[in-house]
Amino acid sequence: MVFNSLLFLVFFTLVSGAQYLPLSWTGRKLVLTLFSYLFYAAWYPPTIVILWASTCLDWIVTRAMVRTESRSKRRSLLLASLAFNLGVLGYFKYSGFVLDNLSPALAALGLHVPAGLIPHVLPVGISFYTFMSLAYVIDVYRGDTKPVGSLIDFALYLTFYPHLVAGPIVRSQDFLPQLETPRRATTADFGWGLLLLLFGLFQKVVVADALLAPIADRVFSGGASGNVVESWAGALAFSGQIFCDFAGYSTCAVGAAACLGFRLPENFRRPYAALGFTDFWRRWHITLSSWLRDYLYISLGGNRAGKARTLFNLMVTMLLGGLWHGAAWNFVIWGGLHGLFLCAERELKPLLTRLPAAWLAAMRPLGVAITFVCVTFAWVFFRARTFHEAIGVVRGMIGLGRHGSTGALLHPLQVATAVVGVGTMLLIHQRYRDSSLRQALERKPSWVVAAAVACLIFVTVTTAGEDRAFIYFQF
Amino acid sequence: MPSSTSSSELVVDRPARSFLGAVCVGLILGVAALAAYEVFWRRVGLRSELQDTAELWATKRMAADDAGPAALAIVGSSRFQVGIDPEALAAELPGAVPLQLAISGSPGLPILRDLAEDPHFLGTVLCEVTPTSTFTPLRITMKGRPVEWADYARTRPAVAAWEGQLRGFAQSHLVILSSGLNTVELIERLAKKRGFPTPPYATFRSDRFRDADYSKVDTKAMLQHWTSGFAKGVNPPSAKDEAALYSAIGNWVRQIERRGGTVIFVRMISSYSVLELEERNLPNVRYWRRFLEQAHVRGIHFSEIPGIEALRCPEGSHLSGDGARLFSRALGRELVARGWLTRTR
Repeated sequence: MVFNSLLFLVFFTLVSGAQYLPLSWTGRKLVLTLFSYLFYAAWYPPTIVILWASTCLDWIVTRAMVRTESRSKRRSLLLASLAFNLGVLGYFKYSGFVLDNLSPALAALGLHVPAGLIPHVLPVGISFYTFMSLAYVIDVYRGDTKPVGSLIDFALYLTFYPHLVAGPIVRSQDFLPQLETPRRATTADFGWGLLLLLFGLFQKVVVADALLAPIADRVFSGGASGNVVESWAGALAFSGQIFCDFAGYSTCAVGAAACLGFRLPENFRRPYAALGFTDFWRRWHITLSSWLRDYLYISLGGNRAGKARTLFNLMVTMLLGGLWHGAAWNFVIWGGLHGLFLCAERELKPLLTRLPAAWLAAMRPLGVAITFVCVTFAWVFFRARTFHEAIGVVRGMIGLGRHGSTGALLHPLQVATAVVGVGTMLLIHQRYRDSSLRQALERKPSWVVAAAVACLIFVTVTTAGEDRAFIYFQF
Repeated sequence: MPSSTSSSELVVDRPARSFLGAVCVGLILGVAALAAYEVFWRRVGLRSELQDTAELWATKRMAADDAGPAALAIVGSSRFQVGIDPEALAAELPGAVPLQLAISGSPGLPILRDLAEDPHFLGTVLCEVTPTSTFTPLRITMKGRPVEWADYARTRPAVAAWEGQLRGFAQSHLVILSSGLNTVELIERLAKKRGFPTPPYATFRSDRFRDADYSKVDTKAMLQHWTSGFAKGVNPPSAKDEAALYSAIGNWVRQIERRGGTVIFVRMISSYSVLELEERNLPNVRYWRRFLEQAHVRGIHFSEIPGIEALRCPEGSHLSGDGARLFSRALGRELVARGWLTRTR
């Protein structure tokens, strides 16, 4: 079930109403957990077993961890959880990729991989809930958090429907305390939640799907047949599409949670206003980048073991971060590019800090522009279905594609839509760089908010076309 | 990597004031604006209509599996979607379950492959042959919407059919959900100075048949449109591509036959200058005949069907609704007469 569906409207009405059932808090948590499983089962019911297995195992493992004083036993329990969670994730998400890459070598040895060995279904949201569950187990192991006593609480933490399939990746410290006291959405929560849901749907349905996706689709399926302007328009369109798609989902998730009286972390903070790549990753998919920082980069040694090791750690983190998004070399290249950007920034930063403050201030817009252009270039590899397709678009972007006027691949109106649409987005990100939607709305009079809501509803309903799944569902 | 953002400080704070009142007023205003918009377009003359979506197609595709040997999958492009009325065909073939799987603007071969590779499909396939889209290298035809829709049918979420029913209900009752009134497309249309959308000349039925009525359409202009398109010429497939095409089609047909099914290719009717250009670009004798011989498949050319000698496509490429009913019944009768299908299947 996706947020941009009529079925979700029915589900949302039922789940919002269920919080007012005359039940105990435990009873209401159980009802909410069951609704969340129902939400998940809407994709492919059998995969719910994997979610249950992960939930039960990690709950048992963490309970056992605190009951033992033995360091080696605690370590064994941690390894068991890591092996199970990463094993399941690896099997469903990466086995096809690994075997595809190994098959020539295996064939040379006379070995053939049976077709039934490769799973045909990728359980939706597996990367998200696996990372949440792993974070919880590692935190308990490290002593940073206490294990939760109730299985229902732990199950609800992992399966809470707003974040279940595409994040935000919520930390147990942020969510479990909210389960300790009974909660229902207040009228303020509900109004705020509805506002966020509407805004998220507008981003997804209107900007990502209707305005920008057709342009990106056309350019990426056309490969090198675009000229410079068309290829850049396609890449720009995808930059806007991926942001509005994913940020739209995250905004809906935060809104849906608010309608139940819960608070979720923010996942995006105007990322295209970023000055540099470290800043970009503080603003883009924040819950993933902070997860990678806390559980991978720091575990590898972070920046504590010398310059060369720091750069190595950065590259490994970003390469694995790329691979987290999907089992394909294109995602590895995308992660690798971001790793290189971060390493380059780290090397350049000491030189830049020696420049006079006035120069730095003057160069700031240039820095934001360079960051955006590099991020857009990297998106080409993220969007393309194959390496060949990515190279086709890159060739077009550097002028090695088709020569001649615009019009063969994209209508001039589509080029204008990409430039104006994404340009407006950049201006908005710059304008609200250090504030939030909440702060911006709080300053507006009520009639402006009401008019904006009316416009959002009108445009979203009259623009809704054929369904496009949220891009991050595939991860 | 970011180093100054803790997880907890990311949790979105509640706003200092309540927005519920403003949201409720906005909702009322938004719904009122939509109602006014609906009334406006109804007065312009547009009518609500079910949309041809991947979901609706997937429902029919799954029905083809569920119908077992009685399934009669109609596979092709808009010529089949407009030209074969499942109800009329069923009247001539009692016991068969005709399922309209043709996809506008797309050749039928990707769907033929999909049916061939699906062990659950046990029925018969009627596959359209239009020379320009069929006698083309496979690398060109085996992509795009048919491939995407076939993939979707296999992987769609468990509740997709319910969502499809809800959407279908809404589309059938609200003009503003018509594809021509999509705000982005409407703005694009107005920017290109093409004026307001006009009522479609074909009514889309829930069985995916498009019932075309050309009485209020400038068929001469449409014929001119098709003619200029076909007059650009085609690149006939190389001998190697042609051999690969026939071999692949032959293999798909054999896969279906091994499960007890049948595949019948139908060279779909075209008329006037469109037919002349098709004959000039990809002559019947050279391509259609050779295709049947080399792929070792059954096929019927529209000129071989008794009872439709006077039938013409009003705009050269597609039949009218009445023409489609006549064609479908005549085709059904001829398939029975040839012993390729029976009335009791």
